[in-house]
Amino acid sequence: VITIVIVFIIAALLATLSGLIGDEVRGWLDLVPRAILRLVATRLPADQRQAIYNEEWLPELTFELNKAQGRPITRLVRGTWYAVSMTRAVDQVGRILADVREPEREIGSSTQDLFAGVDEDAMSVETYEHTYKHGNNPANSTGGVMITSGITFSGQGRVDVGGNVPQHTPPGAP
Amino acid sequence: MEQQFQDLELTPRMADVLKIFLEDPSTPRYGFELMRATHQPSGTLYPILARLEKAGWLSLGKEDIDPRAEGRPARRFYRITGRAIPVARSQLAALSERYKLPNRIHSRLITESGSL
Repeated sequence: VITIVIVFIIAALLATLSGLIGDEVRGWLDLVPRAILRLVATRLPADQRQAIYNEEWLPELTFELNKAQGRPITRLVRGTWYAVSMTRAVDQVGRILADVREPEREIGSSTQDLFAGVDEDAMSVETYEHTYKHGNNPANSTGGVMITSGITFSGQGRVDVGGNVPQHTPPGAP
Repeated sequence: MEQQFQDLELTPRMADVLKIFLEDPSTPRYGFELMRATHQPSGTLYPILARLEKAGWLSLGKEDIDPRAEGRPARRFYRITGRAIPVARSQLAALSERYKLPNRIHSRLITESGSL
């Protein structure tokens, strides 16, 4: 009887552990295409990165990754293919679109606004979704960030003038 | 920024892309959707879109969603511009004419495929 109980406990532990490892791997896999795309985007002219990478390529990739929720391999393959293939396009696109596009800045519309002060590479798709829905305040879900023409309001009442990126202020800090 | 319209010499790959836009000129088209429809990878498609945008054949718009509700940023979409529609149609017709088989070969192929 004791042996059966021990075997049952070990089996339960292994099952839980494999589930946890699976979740961990899935989380890391999501970062691969985004990391590649981000690396590719470093070859864009600096003044074009916002308009091309932040406002077009990254939202497109995020949409595609979200669409394939529950299919981590599909997400990895599709996303990586998109990102890797961009290595062929990046120089050309940067050259062609020089002086064509102007970066937009609208309230909470771009990834740069929404993820200000957050390490994007360390975020999974799920964390992205959470950040979009609730802002980037890690303490609660009410800390949305609003940026209007250089004046920035954060969820905890801080106001930065001059378009500086607001940093999260821990509770109790001066 | 409104682009000034410029003439372009269409390549077959550009024609593939424009054909999708001409199917319904009012429909916004997104990058991944175009990749699937044209069977072109992003590395081929995006320079074509950039060239067409620069020449004023395509205009760029932003998806009308609430990013917080959707849990993702709004995507950018492309639409063919009004000025580009007749030019694209005539260029596609010219391209199709250029690649059309001569009548005698075409009818011979039809006959041969019918006798198989």
